[in-house]
Amino acid sequence: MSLSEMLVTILILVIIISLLIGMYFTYIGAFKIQMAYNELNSNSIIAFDKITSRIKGAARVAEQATINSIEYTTDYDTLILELPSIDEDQNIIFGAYDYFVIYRDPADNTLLKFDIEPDTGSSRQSGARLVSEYVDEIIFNFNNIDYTAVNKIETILVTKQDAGRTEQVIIMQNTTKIRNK
Amino acid sequence: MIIKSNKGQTLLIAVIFLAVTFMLGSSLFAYVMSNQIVSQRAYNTQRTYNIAEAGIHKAVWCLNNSDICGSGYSGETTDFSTGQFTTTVTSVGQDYVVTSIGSSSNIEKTIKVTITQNVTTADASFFYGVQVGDGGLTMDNNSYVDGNIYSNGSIDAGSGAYVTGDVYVAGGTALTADQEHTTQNAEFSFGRYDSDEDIAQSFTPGVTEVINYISLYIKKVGNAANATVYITEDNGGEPATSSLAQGTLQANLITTSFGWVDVSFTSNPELTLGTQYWIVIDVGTPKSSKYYIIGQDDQIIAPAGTGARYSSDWLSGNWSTTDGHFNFKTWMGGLDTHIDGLLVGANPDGTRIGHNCDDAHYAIHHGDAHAHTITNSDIECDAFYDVDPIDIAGTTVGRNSHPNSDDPPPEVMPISLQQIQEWKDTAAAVEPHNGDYTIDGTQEELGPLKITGNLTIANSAQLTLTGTLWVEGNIEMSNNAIISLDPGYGNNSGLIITDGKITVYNNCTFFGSGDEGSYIMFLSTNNSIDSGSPAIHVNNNAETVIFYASDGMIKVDNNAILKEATGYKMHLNNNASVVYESGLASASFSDGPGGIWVIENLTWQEIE
Repeated sequence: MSLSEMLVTILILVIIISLLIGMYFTYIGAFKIQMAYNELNSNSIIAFDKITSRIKGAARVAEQATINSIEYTTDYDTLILELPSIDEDQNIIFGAYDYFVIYRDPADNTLLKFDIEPDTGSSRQSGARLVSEYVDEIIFNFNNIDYTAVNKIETILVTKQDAGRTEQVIIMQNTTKIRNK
Repeated sequence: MIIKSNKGQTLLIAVIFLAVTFMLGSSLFAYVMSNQIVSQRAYNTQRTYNIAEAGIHKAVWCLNNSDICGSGYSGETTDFSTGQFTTTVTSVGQDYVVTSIGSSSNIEKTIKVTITQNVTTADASFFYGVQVGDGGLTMDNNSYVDGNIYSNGSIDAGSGAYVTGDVYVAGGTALTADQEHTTQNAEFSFGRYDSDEDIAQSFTPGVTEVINYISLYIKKVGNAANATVYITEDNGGEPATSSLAQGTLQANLITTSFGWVDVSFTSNPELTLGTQYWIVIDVGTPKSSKYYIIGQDDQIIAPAGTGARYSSDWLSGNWSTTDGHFNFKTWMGGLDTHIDGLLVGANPDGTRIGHNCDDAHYAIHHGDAHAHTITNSDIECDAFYDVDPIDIAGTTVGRNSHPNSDDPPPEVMPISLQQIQEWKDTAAAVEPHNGDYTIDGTQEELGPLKITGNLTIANSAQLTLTGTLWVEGNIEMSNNAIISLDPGYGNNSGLIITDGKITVYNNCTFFGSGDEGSYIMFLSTNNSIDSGSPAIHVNNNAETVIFYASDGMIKVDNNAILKEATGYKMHLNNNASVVYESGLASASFSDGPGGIWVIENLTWQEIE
């Protein structure tokens, strides 16, 4: 093999190896994106399902409520619902209501949380729960400026997660009728 | 040994290259697939909800249509190509608890509701034996009304026609609204909190004339109480704290859906062209769960000192401005009306009391006539009219004459269009009967039901009403038909509504439930005022029944006897009569003994 043949061979090998390395990192990147997207998507669906389920079962929207010593006000990104209380057999307790709020954690507004203050006879558990940790935006639109007259709520949930050099964003939107209104 | 062969290198490189490409491709494929799977799961979750809710609605439908699903419906399992629901209907007291499990693509959602019978009642006050709208009343020879008459139009009577009670003919109302603001793009709650207890809306008349009544585009939340409506002068761009006229916003005319509701006044002051006045609505005590909502146009900019206001108390004079205008109409008077040729205050058999209307008689029977002009009549007691002597020409007055009297204010019809629509909605809540419905010589129970064609109750047929009937076509009841209310109505009344015309032939018989205060009402929304083909045409012998034509004519032929009749226009033929029963002043109309099955509010819940 002459010197020139060897140099050509080395050049070709360098090109091939570079190509393979590039492909490898592209694969790793795609894998990260896939994993991030899967996690984000699952998280969004579960969160959105929980939100719409609570809206469906609500009695009405409350304008203000103090829930576990924190005062909340219904707004474009905070929703307070009055849920009919339920006993241990999952039967509704007429005339009793649990106060339920969906809000973004002020300390870390990527966290979407529920908090609930049940009526004394209710079987629902008091306390805050994490619903999603990837929230970029949540918007509630109401079909009436008078919250007590609201019977439909449009919910827009935008979740976002870093995936290497890119960002994955999921936007979910739904208009939910309050079934008990 | 040096191997100099290069064979196989290309293959090796190709295999490595393909392997990497395959891995990359697989990764992208998996990425797309996982995205699709997750999206599909979200879709399936929503679909499963919908399937479970379909099971609930099917159960409600079956409970309302036991003739199709069978009595004692206990639930079912129904398969779709995309899933299934399984419902369980359990009787709990007088209600049913329905549990519906929807399943689709390995996802399950369970919804539980309580189904209850919705029996609502609506009050309607018939204070007069005959109440007539602007179309007026014609009474042919020897026809009579045993009770009082209130007519917004003139009364023309033939020989021997008489009334046992008082007669009021209101000052005529212009055919079109003088001022109005009818665009609605917003709404305003009032009577709810202290800050919005009262509202006001300015208007400036286009003529100098008396104001007869106003209309408001309004609905209510909960069982709101009556409110007081005032007409006031303007006081520096706000309502004055004293009123020119006062009326009542009757809560029983208002439903939970928007509609126009009229408010008349106890007196009708003359308003001046070009001068600003205010409509003030005063809700006594605000209640957060029982209040009113008025239509509003908040997109228009009202000039300073005009438009919509709200206040904690209109007498305080402290008003806040809200955008634009509230929805309203003002109706001015100006049309002269009259009573002609009528005997007022006769005995029930038509004999005159002989101009002996002393205080003892007056305390019980009255026998007064109130109209702008009263001509060629016999008024056994007092006459109230405008100008002496031209507005009392040819009339004898048994007791006192009261010239220069104001015209009586127009009386609002006792049932609003909103209420009629609500009754229709109740009837339409169950599966309709498409086409004509004939009951011929048989006994049937009907209601609640909507019939899209005509309803014919032929000779000797018997119809027992078990709920409100809404007939889109005409109703014809022929000889010897018997229509009655189910005993379950108790002391409530029931009704049949039609968009078409009602014809009652000879010898039809009508009964309430059997309890005192229970009546059956036939209500037509048809607008025919043609005497040859009126909205309601009653032939002989139709007793114990209320006829109501909101926009058309009621024509009553010879010898027919009614309990009460209210129509836009009315014609009592020779010898026809209306014999008023005092219980009609507080009639309560019910959906029926059973009502319809509906999902009880506040019982929808997802079982997790």
